[in-house]
Amino acid sequence: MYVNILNYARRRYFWWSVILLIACSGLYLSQAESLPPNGGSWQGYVLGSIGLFLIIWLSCLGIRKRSYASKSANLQAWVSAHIYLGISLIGVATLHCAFQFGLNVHTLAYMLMCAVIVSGLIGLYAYLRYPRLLVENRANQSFEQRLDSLAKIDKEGLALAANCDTEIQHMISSAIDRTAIGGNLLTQFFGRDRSSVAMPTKGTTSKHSQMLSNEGQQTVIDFLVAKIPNTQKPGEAERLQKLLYILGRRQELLRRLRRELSLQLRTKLWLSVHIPLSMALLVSLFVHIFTVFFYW
Amino acid sequence: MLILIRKTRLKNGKVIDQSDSELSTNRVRVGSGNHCDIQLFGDDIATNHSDITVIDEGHLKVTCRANANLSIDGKKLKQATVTLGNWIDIGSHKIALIPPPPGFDASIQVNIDADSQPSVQTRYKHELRLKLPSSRLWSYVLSFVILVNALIFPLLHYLQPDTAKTLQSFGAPSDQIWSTGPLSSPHHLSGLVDNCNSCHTKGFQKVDTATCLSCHADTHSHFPANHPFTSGTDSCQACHKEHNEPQMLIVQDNKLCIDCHKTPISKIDVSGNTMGEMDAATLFSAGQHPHFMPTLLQEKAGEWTKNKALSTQEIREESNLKFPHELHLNIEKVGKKIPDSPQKEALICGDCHTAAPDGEHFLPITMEANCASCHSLDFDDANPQRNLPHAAAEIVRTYLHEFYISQAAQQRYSKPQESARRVPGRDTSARCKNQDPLQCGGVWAKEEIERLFSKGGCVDCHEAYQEEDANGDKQWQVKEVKLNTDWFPTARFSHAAHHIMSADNMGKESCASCHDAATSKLSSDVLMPKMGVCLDCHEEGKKDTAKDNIKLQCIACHAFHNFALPTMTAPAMGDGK
Repeated sequence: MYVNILNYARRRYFWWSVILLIACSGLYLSQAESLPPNGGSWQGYVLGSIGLFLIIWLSCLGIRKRSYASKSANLQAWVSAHIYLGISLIGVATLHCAFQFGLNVHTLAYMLMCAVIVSGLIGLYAYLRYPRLLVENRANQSFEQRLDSLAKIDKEGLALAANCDTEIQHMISSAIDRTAIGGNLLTQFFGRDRSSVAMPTKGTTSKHSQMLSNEGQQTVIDFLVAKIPNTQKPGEAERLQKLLYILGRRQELLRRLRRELSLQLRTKLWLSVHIPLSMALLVSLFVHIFTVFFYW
Repeated sequence: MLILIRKTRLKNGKVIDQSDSELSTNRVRVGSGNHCDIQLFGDDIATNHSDITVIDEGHLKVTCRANANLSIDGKKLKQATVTLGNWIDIGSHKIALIPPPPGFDASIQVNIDADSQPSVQTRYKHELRLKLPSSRLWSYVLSFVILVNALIFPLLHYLQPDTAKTLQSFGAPSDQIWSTGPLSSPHHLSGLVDNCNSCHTKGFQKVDTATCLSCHADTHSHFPANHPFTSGTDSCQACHKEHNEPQMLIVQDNKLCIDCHKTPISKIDVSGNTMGEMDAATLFSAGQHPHFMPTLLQEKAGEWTKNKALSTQEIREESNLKFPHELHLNIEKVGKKIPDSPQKEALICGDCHTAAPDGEHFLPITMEANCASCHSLDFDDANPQRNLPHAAAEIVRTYLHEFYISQAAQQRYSKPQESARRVPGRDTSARCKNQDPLQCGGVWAKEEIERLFSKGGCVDCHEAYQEEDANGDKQWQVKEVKLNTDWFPTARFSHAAHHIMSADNMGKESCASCHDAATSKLSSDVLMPKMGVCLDCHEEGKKDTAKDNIKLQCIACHAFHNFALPTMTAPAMGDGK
């Protein structure tokens, strides 16, 4: 069977979490009716201590994953346990607080814990899904190789365009110059194509042009498709056909480049949220424990 | 402003081509980014390099963004304003303002160095280098924000209240955000609900008893001397917990009582003298809770005392009143008239017993309010409208003397009159006709007094006895009547809450389910139910599940704070001995 971090060691840590949650539920239900269940009963203190221990242990993954010489259980076991015990933490903490929430530092710690767990779940999804998508998208060609291919066909395109009229020449040159790859976080995350092209202004005979969006090279392709039936010079239609082919190749190359960037970013970005939120959780947990005993 | 942009591409200093484009804007963006109006490439060209502003057709201003430069005659500048025909270098490219052709407001000449066209890899160097948000930086920022707002600002309310209040007026959070839940409604008082320090006076210490007593000075003790719960520094918290959701100020835990009461306890009075032993109680069930011992009203030589019954057998009470409940509840013997009907209906408990506003007790029974409607105090058949005063025996005797002497005087000095009513054999209309009214009336009164106090009349309800007066004459007296109003003065029982036991609230059925009045023939019967009656519904640990038992807390019947004892702030409680 294919082993991943979820079914590692026959889901050993899943069963650990189930047992932990059953034990915690039993503890919660054993609270006397003399007071509403809360974190201040002895059961509440035990549940809180389990939650505190879990949070500290879960945070230690950050240290363990850098300890390459560590002889403790292998990292795969650590991550598998991190995921299952991390998810069970929602149950432990909810039983500790006895479903009581408010606008206070205690619920702040709870909300941060939920946010950390949700970001972790997004990371889990990324780790399980994106590596396969990345491999599929690469199709045995690395990002750099694909950039080289792009440079190569751009050169071919410019050479072909040099034999066409200046209007086509300027348009192709502009489409290549103004092709956008990468960009800011949101652009890369969603794989947005912000390419543009300076196109001849319609209805004028002058050389004046206007800037248009060239998402997916489609504006230029549409222009060439419309142009091919209306060529007059001999051999021009053939050149334009070749240009069209080159633009089609470009379209595909750019699409895969952007997809790679997007998948790479998605695989990493969750951790940039998970870690600061985890630190914030540790601090708010300290505040929670301090304040509860300060105003006992 | 309509601007013409004339681009000339040069390779090795030679013009390759030229192109024009027009822009309708005041600001022309220059850089390697594909959104720039003038796109230039080169190692020293930033994605967003600079902005060109055409001031008028003779003046041009170029302003560089951060980390970008321009140069004029080899001199590096951040911004420059040039006049017509003067060149500005941006990287290896040149820009100048030229005279605009007709129809344009301005014209910019751009000489593009085609040699600086970069490879694809260098071209997208900046766009591909995305810096992820720094985990470390955001960790510090979030931690700092939380520490300051959730810990330091609220902590100031404890350490520096004045500074904290000033900061709070600027929006800084207060220590209210440390609250683990709302205060219970009795504590929703201004100065308390908005000030944590009114109770939380010392950090890392539970709210102490002295703080509670600073407001609750009049709260009574449970125990005359130091009690384990009332002598500790956080003793109130043993039973009273705040900030619960839902609010529950009193801990509902029998264990708090049973911990001490599981073994017999010596009772002591306020002076510290031992008053016998209190039985153990571990559970409200037969054998594990002491039997109910009603407090009985008893008279000894004219002295009335309230004493707890010492045994559950044959409990008798002395009220000196004759009142058989059985007689009054039997329709065969006693009934009350139904208006506009010849029928009669049985009395019900509520006809005499009126619930007091506290829902627990009943208003005192009085002759006037509860008996007089059936039992009139008329005494003379010939004068049924005349009623005896319901007063002390001396007053009644005097009244009767006055009445019969008056009757004798009338017979002696008046013409004979037909009496309204004649009872065969008891015709007294001519009894003192020719006799001395004082003497005859006096004898007549004595006879009537004798009859009322020994045969029928006063003795129907009262205990009468004879006592020698100052002259050595025997005079009839009535024993003082006292009715118990509370057989369990230290316990609580809500009659109001138990009315649901019958649809007929306060009716016979409702009361009779606990009080066996219908068979009680003597007024000395104590009709307080035995514990078994309560156990029927409230027994703890009962295996029989046919009926759902309603579990009771000790404090449902027994108040912890005993009004008969000194307050918790009284010296005896705080001496620490």
